Amino acid sequence: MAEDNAESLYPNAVLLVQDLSLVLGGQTLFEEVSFVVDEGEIAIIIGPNGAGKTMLIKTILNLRQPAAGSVTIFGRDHRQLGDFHDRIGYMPQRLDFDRTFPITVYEVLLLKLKGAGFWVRSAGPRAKILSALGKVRGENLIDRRVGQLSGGELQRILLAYALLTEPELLVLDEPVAGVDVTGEETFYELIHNLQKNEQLTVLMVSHDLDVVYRYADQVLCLNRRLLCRGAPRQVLREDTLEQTYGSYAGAYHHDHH
Amino acid sequence: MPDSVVQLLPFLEYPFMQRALLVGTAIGFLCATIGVYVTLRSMAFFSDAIAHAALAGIALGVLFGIAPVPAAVLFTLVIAVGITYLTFHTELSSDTVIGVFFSGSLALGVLLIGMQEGYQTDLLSYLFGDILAVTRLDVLLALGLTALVMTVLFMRSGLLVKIAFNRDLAAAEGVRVVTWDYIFMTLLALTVAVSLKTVGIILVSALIIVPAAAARNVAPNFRVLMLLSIIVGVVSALSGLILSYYLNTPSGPTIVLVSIGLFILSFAGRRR
Repeated sequence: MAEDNAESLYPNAVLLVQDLSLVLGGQTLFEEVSFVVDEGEIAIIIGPNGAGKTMLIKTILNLRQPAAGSVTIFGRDHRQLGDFHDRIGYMPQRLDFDRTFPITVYEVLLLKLKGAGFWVRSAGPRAKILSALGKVRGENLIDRRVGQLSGGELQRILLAYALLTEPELLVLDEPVAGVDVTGEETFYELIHNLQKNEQLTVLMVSHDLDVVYRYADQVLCLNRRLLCRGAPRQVLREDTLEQTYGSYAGAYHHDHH
Repeated sequence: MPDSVVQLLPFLEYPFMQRALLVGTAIGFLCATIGVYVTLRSMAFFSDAIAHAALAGIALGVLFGIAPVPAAVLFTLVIAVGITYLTFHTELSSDTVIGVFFSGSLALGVLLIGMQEGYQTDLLSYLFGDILAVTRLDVLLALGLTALVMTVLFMRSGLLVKIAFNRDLAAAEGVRVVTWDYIFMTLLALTVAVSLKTVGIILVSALIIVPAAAARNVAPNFRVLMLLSIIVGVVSALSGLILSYYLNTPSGPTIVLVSIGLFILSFAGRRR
């Protein structure tokens, strides 16, 4: 089978995406996207708004049905993801929820823990939750209401949620959308440190080329199609950036001077 | 019934009040529990629409000689599935789709009632609830359905909270969110059906929404929210029924007004 061949070609692959296309309502959101993310790697997807980044992430996670192509995660078809979702930590771009609803950080994290009773307070789950919060320096937030958290605090809680089952693969969809710049830098450092300490593989979306240069082992330029992939310093050139972003490439460079 | 209890609570002497209080406790509990999820998912209008759809279901039942409550369950399920299907498969907002089904099924209900011979007291009792109309069979049906719905709601509460909190997160963890949408709607339709005889079609959604709304004003977290909602639901149902006995008022509106009173009180304890 084709998939078996591909797997033997990439023995260290955690994520294998082959010829993936997504069509929604007659509109092609992205097509023929293929790439490999190896174990322990940080891969960052870049591209302008509407390039299909979020939809690519959602399709990889089996939240959208692809028109063509296949996704293999840990050597298994992503359609069986229900059986091994514990090994993947997913952080959505925005968390749409009713901010007035009374639910605490503890309760939200409790939802992720299988077999933990929701109605009875017990020590085991609380210890696990505290440990995950510790990784994002958020222990003090445990009894806060989720709706009262600041943007940066909420991102850390979502990261703790993603880390709760001790996943091997982290999938982060533009994790710093809506966080101020200092917040952003701490957040990327956090992810970088976690990735090193816990031997995580990371796939994430970012708008920020500085972040890409600093942290990415592999960059994936997406604009409906995959326009470049490889180490940032090798593949991010004026021509590839212009292909990806059009003539607005300059706007995506953060100027710190 | 021991004499001392009857002296203190004289209405307990009457079997119809015993039945009504039993059903009242069950539906107060049930509506308040499911109401927490309904309000969390902003489905108040939806629950109101499927409650009104029950009228057409009951009328159809009477017309074709089927028991009204099962007919109501079936018809509300059809309406609930129709609303969900059109919301997923058209460009129309759920608000619009619900509005269409709401008025359509209500019109159908009124039309069907008009087709019956003579004055339909029985049908009217379904509109506002009638404790006198609660039979022994209704009690058994109500307790059975309540037990069934509560079992699903509490066994799967983590999952339901997760879907209500964020569908994408739930789906990414392998939860079949669409399947659970349909299961949840079935539970809601059953809840409405169980409550018809006591609170009536017009007001059942109040018993679903108001306790959760009152609890939401004061609760610091989800578990307290659930507990308070249930307390408000049960207290409203019981004291509303007893008040309606003494004041000789219809049970449904009395129950709802008690719960509205508790809702207003909840503003006093509102958390910042």
